[in-house]
Amino acid sequence: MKYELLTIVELHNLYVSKKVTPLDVVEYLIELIKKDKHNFMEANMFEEAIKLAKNIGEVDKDNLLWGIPFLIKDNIATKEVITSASSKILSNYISPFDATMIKKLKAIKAIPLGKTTMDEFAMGGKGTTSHNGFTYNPLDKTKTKMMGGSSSGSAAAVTVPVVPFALASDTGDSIRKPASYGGIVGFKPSWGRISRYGLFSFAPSMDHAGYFTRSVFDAALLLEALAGYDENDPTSSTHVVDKYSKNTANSTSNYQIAVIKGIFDNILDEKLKSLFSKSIEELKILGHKVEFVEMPITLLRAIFPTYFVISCAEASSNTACYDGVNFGVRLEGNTYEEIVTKTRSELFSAQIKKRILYGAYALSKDNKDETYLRAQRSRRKIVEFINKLFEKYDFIYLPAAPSVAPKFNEYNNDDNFAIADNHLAIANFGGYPSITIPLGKINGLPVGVNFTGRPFEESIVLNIAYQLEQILEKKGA
Amino acid sequence: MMDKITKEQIKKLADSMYLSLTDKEIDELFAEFPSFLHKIELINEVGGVDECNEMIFPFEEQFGTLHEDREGEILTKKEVLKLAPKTKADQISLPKVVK
Amino acid sequence: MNFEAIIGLEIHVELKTKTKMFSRTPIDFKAEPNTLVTPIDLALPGTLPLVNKEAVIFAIRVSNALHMKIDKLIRFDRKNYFYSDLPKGYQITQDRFPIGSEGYIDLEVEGTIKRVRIQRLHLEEDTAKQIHLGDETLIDYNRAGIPLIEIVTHPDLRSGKEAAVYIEKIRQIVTFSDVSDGKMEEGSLRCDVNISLRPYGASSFGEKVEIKNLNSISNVERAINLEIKRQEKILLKGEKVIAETRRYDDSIKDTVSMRSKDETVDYKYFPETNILPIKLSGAFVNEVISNCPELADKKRKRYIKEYSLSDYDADILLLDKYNAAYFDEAAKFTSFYKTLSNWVTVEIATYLNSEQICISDFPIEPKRIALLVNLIESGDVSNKQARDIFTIMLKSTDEPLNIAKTHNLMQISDENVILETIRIVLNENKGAIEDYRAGKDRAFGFLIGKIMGKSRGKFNPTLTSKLLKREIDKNE
Repeated sequence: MKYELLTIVELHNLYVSKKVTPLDVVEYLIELIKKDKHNFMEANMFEEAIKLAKNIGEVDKDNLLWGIPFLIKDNIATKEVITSASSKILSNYISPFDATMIKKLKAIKAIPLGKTTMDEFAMGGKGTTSHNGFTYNPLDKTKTKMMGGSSSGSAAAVTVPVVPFALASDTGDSIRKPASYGGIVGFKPSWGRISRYGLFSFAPSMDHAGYFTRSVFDAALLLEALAGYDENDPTSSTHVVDKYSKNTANSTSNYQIAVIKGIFDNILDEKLKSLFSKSIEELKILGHKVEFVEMPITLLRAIFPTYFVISCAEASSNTACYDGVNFGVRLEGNTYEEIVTKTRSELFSAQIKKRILYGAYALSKDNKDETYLRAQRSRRKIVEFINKLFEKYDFIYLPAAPSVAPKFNEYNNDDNFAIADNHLAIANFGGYPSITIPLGKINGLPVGVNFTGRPFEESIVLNIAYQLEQILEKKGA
Repeated sequence: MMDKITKEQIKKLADSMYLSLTDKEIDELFAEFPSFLHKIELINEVGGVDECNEMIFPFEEQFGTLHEDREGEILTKKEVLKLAPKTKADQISLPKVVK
Repeated sequence: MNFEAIIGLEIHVELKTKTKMFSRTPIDFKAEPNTLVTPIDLALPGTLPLVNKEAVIFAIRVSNALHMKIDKLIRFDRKNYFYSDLPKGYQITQDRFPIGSEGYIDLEVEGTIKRVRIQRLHLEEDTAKQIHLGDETLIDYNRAGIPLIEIVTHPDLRSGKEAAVYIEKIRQIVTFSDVSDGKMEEGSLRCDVNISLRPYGASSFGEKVEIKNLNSISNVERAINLEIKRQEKILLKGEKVIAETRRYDDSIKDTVSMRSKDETVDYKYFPETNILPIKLSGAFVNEVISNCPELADKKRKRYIKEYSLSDYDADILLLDKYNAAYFDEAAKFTSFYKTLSNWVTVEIATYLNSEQICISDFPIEPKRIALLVNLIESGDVSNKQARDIFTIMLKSTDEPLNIAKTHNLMQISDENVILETIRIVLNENKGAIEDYRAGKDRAFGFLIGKIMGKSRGKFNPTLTSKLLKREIDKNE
């Protein structure tokens, strides 16, 4: 049986009916992972996983995550396992504590199999800056197309697939864009809905914990398990944790859905536009109202720059602890300055160094007001506009990416292209819950769509995604 | 506000961040900087962008909490020292640091 | 002097909370290196700061004592720089919105009252501790993250003496409000000086010199006086003072120039995005203020007004918060405050000094001293007997009255009993009475001697003397 193709729910049903044990599944998946050539693994936790599977005890039929194997993006702290954020500077760093997400999953007996590759320190969108090299899109046999990033490894692992879910993080679109390239579900709930304790800070005001799954229902299950206030993360939300899985399949509301015309218009892939328009018809058939809405071009063109400036600025400070002094790798030198400079210069990739310097520029006294502070004001302008949209509409609905997975060396510098390529950052500015689900295929490669909703309305975001998912699956997406 | 940046300024910025760039790296960044400055220009074009307050957090109605002054779990000395690249006398060691 | 000194002080106070400013790490200055550390103190990735309520409470206490406006929205910023004792590569501090702003303190300097304006008071965290040994620097992270408050004055001070009085006042406030040990020698109170000179009458400021590494109030005063002379000398030569940072070196008792940088460091301050703004209610702030332990100034007023102690006595009691607390506790059990004050500032102080202990380790609780004072004032024991009882109390937990009885250390103050003996003695020594009446004062002493002899020294001498005189005069 191809256990790797099963969702959480399907695997759980096999466990309950005693058709297979977690140990069988874990051993099977470990072999698959070992054979895989898409370069999505960092440190593995195979030994521990087998131990956990052996000692797991009696199946708990009410716990849908019991015995479910999963993978973890390498910027999430795992106790006694190397957590490197795919960076040379942390290639020997063993975290002495578990992230809250990990603690919660271990407590309900889910089984972590290992860590996945990413763009170094979550900075990047191609899956190319890991210290271990490129992560390949498993759906592209030529190995020339990207998985996207920064959650490249977790995305690839659920795309192959080798596991039913993988944890990840999303600061600008790092879950929701790769999900599109892999034809899988990528979910980023509201800011603070899932505790960030243990998630390496990149740009904290936009950092979100999230995950990849192979079904919307699985995403709802995981949210129930992971959501909630954590006293180790005082920015986590005290909002009530809904029965998300129950709500996902239940609602029949007539939603008001907005498609931002300026973003749609900047998509150049006509086949994608056609698939997307067809999906709008499906939504209408389901009883929902879908309208194209205008958004000022100045705001649209400012989305990526706003994200880039704020994230580089915050990252320049959040990477200052990587200095080779008291943890991580240290390169030798005769003085403190030499050690720190050598360690950082040789062990950070070029991408990180550039972003640190852009960030330092943005924060320096002479530039701060017109760079960093202005970007924060621009963020406000964008969020105010979207919040106004949300007074009338329940969701924003858009293609998650401009097309299928690009080639690694593909590069489009056009400001308008950037709009279609980076609009998902809106959900990071405003902390909105946002989910990408598969739409269909173009020339054999997947494209996805994204629903973004109001803060803490995960239930209806999951619901609308579920409704569309069911229709598209019926039609053979 | 700079319209351009010089290689000297890039080097100075790098020094302040304890990064030493190769000439090639400085050249690359120098070549890419206009693109970054262009992004800043795009932000500048947002209507009313200098007439509102900065937005720092996504939810402005969310406030933090004060935490009770009580002890939590600490790391053992062994765990602390195990993380460090170089130790001596139960402390982390560096070549002598001059103020 | 042709110039006036413009002086501002920056004082850092280590708060004696149980745990650190942004983490649940316990604090103990005596702990072995690197035994009180949690992941966030090491700046391990994935850790997040928690704001310590007690530190905020302490900051409010001091802000209030300095008459400052308290910002009820607590916000933090990052001060970014690289240094070996700063694991995160930034310090969490309050740059834009200090918790306390625009207050003042009144100093008494050589007879006049001087008001010093306090610009800001903010919360921040301490750095790790470094020891420089030979060619190595060793780092201990126990101290990394301990809460600090930084208090910055406007440049209102004008002399080393004023600075000394100011620091002492701050020390008094932070110790009496129970927020810090306030010991410069131990580093729980640190002071940096900013000083420039300008001609009298000028309105613009001269070049500012910063002085660091001052570990006692007397060193601060000395350093300021030296710096004034140094700058004066330069200016009188017609030269310019260089804006720089100087280090006080105790071994040469002078300041030396530190390697000065060409420009000032740009700390790239920006809001700490891992800490949401925290809203304090008016009720919370008021409760903190009203629960604050009584400050020295208030105690001083109370001692002088309610207890009728002299300024001098009050000041001695208030030199040390623990002595004042001891006195306050004892004062609940007696109303003879002057006598009590003497016992605390003389008898007890002498003992503490000879044993080299502090009053917290003093074996006699305040209540028992108060009871002893009562015994003295009621005439039940003489001063000498009281001292003997005191000595016994050091080793016994018994009440002074019991000790007095058991050890036969009481005097008789019963007038009737004394009169009875007086009359007997007078009866037996009529000759002496006549001698006394004839002007021979020694006869009085003779009679006293006889009376005391009959009482085996147990009569209250003052009272006996008084009664004898009355009896003799009565029978004239």
